[in-house]
Amino acid sequence: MNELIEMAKAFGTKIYDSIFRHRFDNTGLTKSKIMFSNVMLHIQPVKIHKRSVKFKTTMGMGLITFYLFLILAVTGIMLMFHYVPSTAIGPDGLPDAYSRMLNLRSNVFWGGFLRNMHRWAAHGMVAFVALHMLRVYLAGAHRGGREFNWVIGCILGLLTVFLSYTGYLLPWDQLAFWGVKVGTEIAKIAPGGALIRGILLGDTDVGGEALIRFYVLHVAVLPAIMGFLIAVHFFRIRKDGGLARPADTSKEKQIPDEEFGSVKNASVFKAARSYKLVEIVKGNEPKVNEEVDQMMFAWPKLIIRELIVLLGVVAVLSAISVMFDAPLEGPADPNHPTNPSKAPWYFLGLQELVSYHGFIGGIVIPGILAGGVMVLPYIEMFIESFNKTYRKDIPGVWFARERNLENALFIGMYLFMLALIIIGVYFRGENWAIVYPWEHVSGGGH
Amino acid sequence: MQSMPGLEKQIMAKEKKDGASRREMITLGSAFGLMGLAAAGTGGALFKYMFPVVSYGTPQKFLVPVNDLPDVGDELIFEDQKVVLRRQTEKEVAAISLVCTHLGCTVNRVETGFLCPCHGSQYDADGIVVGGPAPKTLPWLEIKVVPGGQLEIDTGTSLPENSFFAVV
Amino acid sequence: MIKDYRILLALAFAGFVFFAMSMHKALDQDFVDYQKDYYEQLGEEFPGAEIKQVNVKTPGSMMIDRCQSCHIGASNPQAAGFEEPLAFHPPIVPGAEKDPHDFAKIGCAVCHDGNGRALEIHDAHGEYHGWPAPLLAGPTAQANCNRCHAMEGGSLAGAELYEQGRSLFLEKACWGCHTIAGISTSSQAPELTDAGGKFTYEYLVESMVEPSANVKNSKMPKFDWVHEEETVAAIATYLKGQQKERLRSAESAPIGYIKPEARLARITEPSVEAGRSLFAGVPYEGSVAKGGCINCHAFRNSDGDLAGGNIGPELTWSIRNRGEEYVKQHIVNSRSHAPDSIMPTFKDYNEAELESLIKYLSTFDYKLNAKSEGEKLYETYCVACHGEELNGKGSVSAMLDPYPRNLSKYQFVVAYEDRFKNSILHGVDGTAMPAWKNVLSDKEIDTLIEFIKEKSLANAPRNFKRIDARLPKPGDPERLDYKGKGELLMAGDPAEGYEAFQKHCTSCHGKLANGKGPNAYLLEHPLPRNLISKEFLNQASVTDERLYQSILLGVAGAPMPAFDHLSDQTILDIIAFIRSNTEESE
Repeated sequence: MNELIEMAKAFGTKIYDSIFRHRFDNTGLTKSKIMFSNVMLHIQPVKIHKRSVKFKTTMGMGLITFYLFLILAVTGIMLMFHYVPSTAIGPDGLPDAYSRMLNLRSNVFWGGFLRNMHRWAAHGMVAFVALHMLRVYLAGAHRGGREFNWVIGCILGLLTVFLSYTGYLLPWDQLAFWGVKVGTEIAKIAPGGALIRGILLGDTDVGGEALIRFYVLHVAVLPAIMGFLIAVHFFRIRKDGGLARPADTSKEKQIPDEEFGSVKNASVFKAARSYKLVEIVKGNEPKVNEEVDQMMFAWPKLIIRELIVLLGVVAVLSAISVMFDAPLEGPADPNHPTNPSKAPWYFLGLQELVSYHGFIGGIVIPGILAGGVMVLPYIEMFIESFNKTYRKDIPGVWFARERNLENALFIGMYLFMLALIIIGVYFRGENWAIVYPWEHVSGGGH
Repeated sequence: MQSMPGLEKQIMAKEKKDGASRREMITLGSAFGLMGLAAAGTGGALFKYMFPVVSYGTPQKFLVPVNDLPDVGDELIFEDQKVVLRRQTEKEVAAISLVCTHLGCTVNRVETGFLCPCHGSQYDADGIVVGGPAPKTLPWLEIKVVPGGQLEIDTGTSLPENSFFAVV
Repeated sequence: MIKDYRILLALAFAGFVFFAMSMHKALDQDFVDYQKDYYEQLGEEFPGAEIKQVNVKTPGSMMIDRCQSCHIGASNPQAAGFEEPLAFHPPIVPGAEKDPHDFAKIGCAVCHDGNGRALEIHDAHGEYHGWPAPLLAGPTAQANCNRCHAMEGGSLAGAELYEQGRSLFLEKACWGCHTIAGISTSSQAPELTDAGGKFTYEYLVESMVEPSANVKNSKMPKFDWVHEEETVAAIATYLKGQQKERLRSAESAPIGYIKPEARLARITEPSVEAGRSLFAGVPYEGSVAKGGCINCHAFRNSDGDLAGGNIGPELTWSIRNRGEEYVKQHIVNSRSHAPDSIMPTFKDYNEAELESLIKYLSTFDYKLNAKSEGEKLYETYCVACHGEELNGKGSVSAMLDPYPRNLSKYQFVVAYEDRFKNSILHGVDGTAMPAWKNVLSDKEIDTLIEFIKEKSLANAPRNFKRIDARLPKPGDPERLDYKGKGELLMAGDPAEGYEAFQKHCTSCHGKLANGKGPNAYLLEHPLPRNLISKEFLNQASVTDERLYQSILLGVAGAPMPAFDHLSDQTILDIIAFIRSNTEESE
């Protein structure tokens, strides 16, 4: 009998070992094994700087954005099961795409909730991309070898907005139609804008062709590009040595480049081959010799913290989705514009600018802002190189004193855009006249 | 605490550590339990999300007003729904599916019973196979009386032959 | 670590709660409760809730109708006494033993509009922003009979409100301005052939009751009958029924279809009776007459009792004032007399119909007795346009263009009293002021003028006087262009005048000189003169001298200011320009 139990135990152990390659005891070896033997976890390093898990380092902005992206992917795929990107008018007088929205709201179980999740997560992602960028800049985390990752981040930000914008059209209600229409009218002002507009819309105006193009962009092209760039973004963070932080060792003490590849210390990682691979990475991490005091195992602290952020995002998003329904107005009617016709909120700053001056507001200012922000680290680099004023403020310091000017300018730019957006959303009424928010009538912008 | 002997101190520290680790396990366990529950619920919800509750084709169930029933001994054929409704007595009706049990063609009502135009399956008047490749009897369908003097015939059911239902 | 775990637990709990809430929201839809309630009231076992979807077959595809998930008792007579939404729907065809409408096949939204797919009450009844077809409750659903049954020309049992609306559309003279294909042809106002497809019922009602509610610069008059809810409902139902998109073509229309046939009266023999029917818009010899003058125009019977609408001028004296030829022409094309008139063009009328109308109008013979006082005269003949206070805001003034003269301005009366007699005698062409010479005697006119002067000048300052200015003669060596270069005046040059007009006059008179410049909207009564009105400018009383005075000195009692800073030559040029616009073409 005992023998049978022993055999069963052995069998069970074998099954376990065939799936997991580690136990859950408290040794360093296990902790590192957990990290690099799991495809989801091995994206992260085995050991991280203890600063990285502190709330104030990142405030979780990037992670929240990423989780929102994941939620959007999941809910988006679910929604695709019930959606048809067609403007064909059915006998009840409704475009197909729109009647699918009605189905989601009525007979499809949980459909309304999933759509709410998708909608609010999309808005949240745009907002958190902006906040993430603000955090990175104010902490100077775009410096010290991370300049190019900033550029990738900026591209990701633009993609997020574009992704959100392409999704805005899909419900094919009045809000969607006129929001997108106004957005494409803004595009017309740009040199070559008519060309881009033509390629986007596939017609002279927003219509059935535009819907199918926006749909393909929204569900296939942009998410694929986005997923790839997110991978690059994360990969570079690791290759750059984890989250940006001020160095706590001096330059001279770092391991000379020629010494990479042969680890002489007696660390617990020796036995695990893949850790050596990690060590061949160029840069200032992992510096097992010098910084070992500052380094901690990523398991379980980091993973739990990440889980906390994930749960927080899901909980808040669910709460919002239960309480607030995603807007849906009457079906798109090209003959009856909403008044006012507002673009989605993240474009309302732009629309507000355009309302003052088409070219300056629609092209010059946003062009300078978008282009300027993207190459911002290189502008800093240029000034510093040619002034020979290399500043020692190593990345990762919030509000570094040497960077007061840049930070102030950056915050100023954010406040400027925010003010424009708030005016556009809340203070613009019929015929784009200034009104008080409580006099406001529905006409888009959300 | 100062006066505490070394051993006792060690034991207390160990107990404290054990206690802490137990509490940790309980907290973590319940957290993951809740997450598991929510995940399972989400799975269920997504299943329901995918499961059809309405039909855009010919509905599985259809209504026939009692007033429209055929005379006793007569039959009424519903072509769209592929059903023949038979009134046996004043108070008894039955519905027989017209979908051939062989490969799903629609059988024709003939003098002798039902005849499948596709592969020649033959059924008698009660839908029992009398020839051809058909493997089983034509399904008899469930009939429910719904409020408002209407019968609801459910084409999704499959009952043995001679399943008659009372019309109130 | 325990701290992290606790946060994790708390968030997991919160997440679980919100998940549960979302499930509750998804599971606990209203129709479930309604269906439970329904079976409970019937005393039967609840078989479980389900969405009752009807796929309404239409020629192209099908409509989705889930209304009976809540309105579950619609075809169950046992549910007759139940409360909404469970109640039994009474038969649509009144008195029919078995209603041909089977709700299990056609659903609800086909007739009642709303949002057939939705299950939540606000969604389902279409009570949200931008939904094109909100619920048509009660008899207003008759508008949608037209979607399947062809109804023009025939009458359909159960569609009484719609039928009533159809008659009213003709009776209330809506047809005069609005086109509905097959009923009327007029380009005066928006076409209503697809009114039901374009507008909601609410919108149609609102546009009738308050024409400017939806279209700010609507020229549509506000009729007296808009307060009669039933009339408005009937017309709105009829209009809502005008839909180009139909569910059934004429060939496949269900039973009850009656081939359309024109049932409009065409009068072949002119007679007073026919004219009366046309005037009143009531059926003539059994079929509907296309008329309805009475909706806008009032008249007095022999006893002086007034009846009719307050939108156009009173017609009691029209034949006597204007003459038959003028009235006939005016019916066919009113803008040949007053260029800004809103009166529809009734070009469809044949000669017999016009003749009938004239005959009927000629029967109005009311007249005050000769010895009436000024006040009485004014109240009978003038007050409808010029108003009790003489301020030009009489009851019919709002729709007249130009507005009736504001006689309460003493400046005007003092300055132009010598013109009064002429205007009353011969009328003012290009305006609604008719010639009264066939109705009023000389003495009556004098009495009237006295009355106006008395009333208007009561509060006038004694020393107000209009400066006199003579039209200078070109080439007169005695009369040089003092304000200009001091040279001899020359005949006005229209090209120069055009330049000057664009510079000085367009803000009020408009670039086209039609009196509708941008500032005209800011002005009140009276409005800038339409200077391309041939009828007005070519009448004998509008002399060059009058134009000269009006420009140089302004118009007394009107917003027209004095342009005394212009040189005489410039004014002559402007006059020449105005004249060149309104030359009678050969």
